[in-house]
Amino acid sequence: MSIAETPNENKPIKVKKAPKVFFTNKKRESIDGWLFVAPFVILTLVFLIGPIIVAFILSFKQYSLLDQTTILGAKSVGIDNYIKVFKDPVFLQALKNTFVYSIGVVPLQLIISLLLALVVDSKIKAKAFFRVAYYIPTLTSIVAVSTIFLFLFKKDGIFNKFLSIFGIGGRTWFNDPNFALMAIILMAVWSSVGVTMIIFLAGLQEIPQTVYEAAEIDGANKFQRFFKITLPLIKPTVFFNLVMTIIGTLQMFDQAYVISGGNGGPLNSTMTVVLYLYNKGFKEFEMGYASAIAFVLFLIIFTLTLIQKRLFKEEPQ
Amino acid sequence: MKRNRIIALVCSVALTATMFVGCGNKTKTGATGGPVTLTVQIWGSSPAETKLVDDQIAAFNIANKSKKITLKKEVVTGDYNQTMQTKIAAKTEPDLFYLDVSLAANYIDKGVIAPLDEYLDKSDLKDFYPNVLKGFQKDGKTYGLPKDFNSLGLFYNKEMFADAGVKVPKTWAELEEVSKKLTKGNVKALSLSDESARFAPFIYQAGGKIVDKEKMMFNSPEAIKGFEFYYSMIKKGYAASPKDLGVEGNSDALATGKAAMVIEGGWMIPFMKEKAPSVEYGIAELPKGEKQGNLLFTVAYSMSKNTKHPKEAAEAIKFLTGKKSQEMVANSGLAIPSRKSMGNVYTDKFPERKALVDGTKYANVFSYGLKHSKIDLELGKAGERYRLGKNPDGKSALEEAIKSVQ
Repeated sequence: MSIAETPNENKPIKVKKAPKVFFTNKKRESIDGWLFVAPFVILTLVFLIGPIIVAFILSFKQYSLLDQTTILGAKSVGIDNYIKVFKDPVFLQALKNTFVYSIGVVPLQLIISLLLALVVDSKIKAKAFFRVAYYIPTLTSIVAVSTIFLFLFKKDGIFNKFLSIFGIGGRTWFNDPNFALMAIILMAVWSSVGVTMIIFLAGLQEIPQTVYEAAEIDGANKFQRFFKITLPLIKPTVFFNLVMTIIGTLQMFDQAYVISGGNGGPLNSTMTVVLYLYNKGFKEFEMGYASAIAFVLFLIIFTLTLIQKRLFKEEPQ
Repeated sequence: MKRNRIIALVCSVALTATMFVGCGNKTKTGATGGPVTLTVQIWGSSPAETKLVDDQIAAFNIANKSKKITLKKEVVTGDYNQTMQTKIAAKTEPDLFYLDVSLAANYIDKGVIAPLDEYLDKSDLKDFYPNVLKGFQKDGKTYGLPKDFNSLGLFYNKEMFADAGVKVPKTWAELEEVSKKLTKGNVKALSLSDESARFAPFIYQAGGKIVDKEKMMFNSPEAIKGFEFYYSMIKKGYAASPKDLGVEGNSDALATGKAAMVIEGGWMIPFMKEKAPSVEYGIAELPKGEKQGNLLFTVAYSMSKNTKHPKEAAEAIKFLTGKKSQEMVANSGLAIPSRKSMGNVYTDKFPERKALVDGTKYANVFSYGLKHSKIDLELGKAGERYRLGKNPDGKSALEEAIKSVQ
């Protein structure tokens, strides 16, 4: 582009034409940009998009990893797998369990982590210590946490002893089909509350103090400040945490695997969708069917995410 | 500007290269005539078991130094079956590997392991316990040689037996009688888990079967009888599921004195030594119903179909399950050697474990055919349902299981 200067009144300006360069500045910037994201893009393509495409192809086939055919060469069964998914009573039970788990974890985790974030953000001493303390559970291995919780929640374990102080009878938590999932919910909230807390903290710290001061001057009390100022201003953070937690909980696998030893017991009460498809794919050698289950789950999560996006955008500014 | 671009390029390449870290490497073996390196894949286990395998591999390497064959081991931590399947699909599987008998039918059916018959000595094959070896044979061909095995036995607390003044039960009727006397307060006579790997022997003892040539037989009257007898102990109050006793598994029940008897295998021995060295226990054969019945848990070395060195791999398999290696197994006491000729070495050194070896004669391998995993899962659930009263009787529980497996 030639740079044309604002012409002076009378003098015609001689505009120099720029020499033809292959790597224009714009092109150079573009290439640099791609180079910078290249590692991420390549990684995503090879390890994320690629497998997703392969899994999609497999969902229309009958295939096990031991089959000596290529993915494309495997026997095609059309949409049989997908039809089977919706008629499968164990899948439907697993879906129900997964939803119950999600509905149990999401509100509990968001509310508790928001409260913790508020506490940690306030004028208390040793803020840094509490921030770390609440976050540490998220760093522990899920397998380790599950094993410890199995120990804490056994019939003569510490949790039951604690409940007996309040006169509540003890239970065999993880062996009772009515309570196993509930115990896993408690475990999940404990171990992931730190993650959403940190994100809420970031959201809270973006609210300028001046807004609060103005509200205080206008005579707003603590509750009014929270509901009228804090909550609306952290809406994007709430949205993010809500979406991510729902996506995460609908894919729960590790806890169910360790607690039930892989069989989704007792009485299929801890069978989640991902645990079910894992068993189908690896233990029962039905990788095609497992892929179909995975895509059905994907569609469910995707739809839910779109619904949430709609709901949050509806509020007028 | 140029320097920044170079830095960006170098960083991109470095970051991209890091994604290849951890990718497996194909062991490059030389052309025929050159030195051969074989990989044998095993799963991770206790230090004692690892040492045993290391010793066996070392012995092989010494014996084959002149032939320039070296054996290297690869350990899989995590889900072995899952890892093996992904390796086979990627065609990076090792030359030889552990194969559990419960998976053998599937691996043979899919043709991922090679038959070994052309490399085997037919007369030497007779030294293996036939019912253990059968788990790895199909249509007259042998697809793996078992390296060792474990059977189930009745592990009982000697002190509790003496206190109750009872003797070791040999039949179902005696088992019930003895259990009545051993149940006191919170202590139950038996800890019984909801696993087909524990109640299948009772089905066999009643004269029933789980499968017969891929046909499901566990809803036959005999099978129902065995199934119901197992759970009758819990329903009558003489036994309980381990979690209801407040422990993780049957082994813990015996170790912590919550149960007087458990049905478990040879793995109990190192467990009891470590967790409850003060508990004096005995091992007896499982009680007899209509007949005697037991399960065998075994692992074989099998050869990959795609190995580049089948002859050498077969030699390795033969050595690792040969008399010398099995002598090491017998002396370690970690499992029962799969060769009949080694049986005496084992029982001479560990006379108290004779019941486990004796139980082999009438035992079946823990393999329910091609649908093993599903059948095992559904049987466990049937047991769970029957125990919790969701099914009024054994028949309905097992019928439901049959429907779920179809």
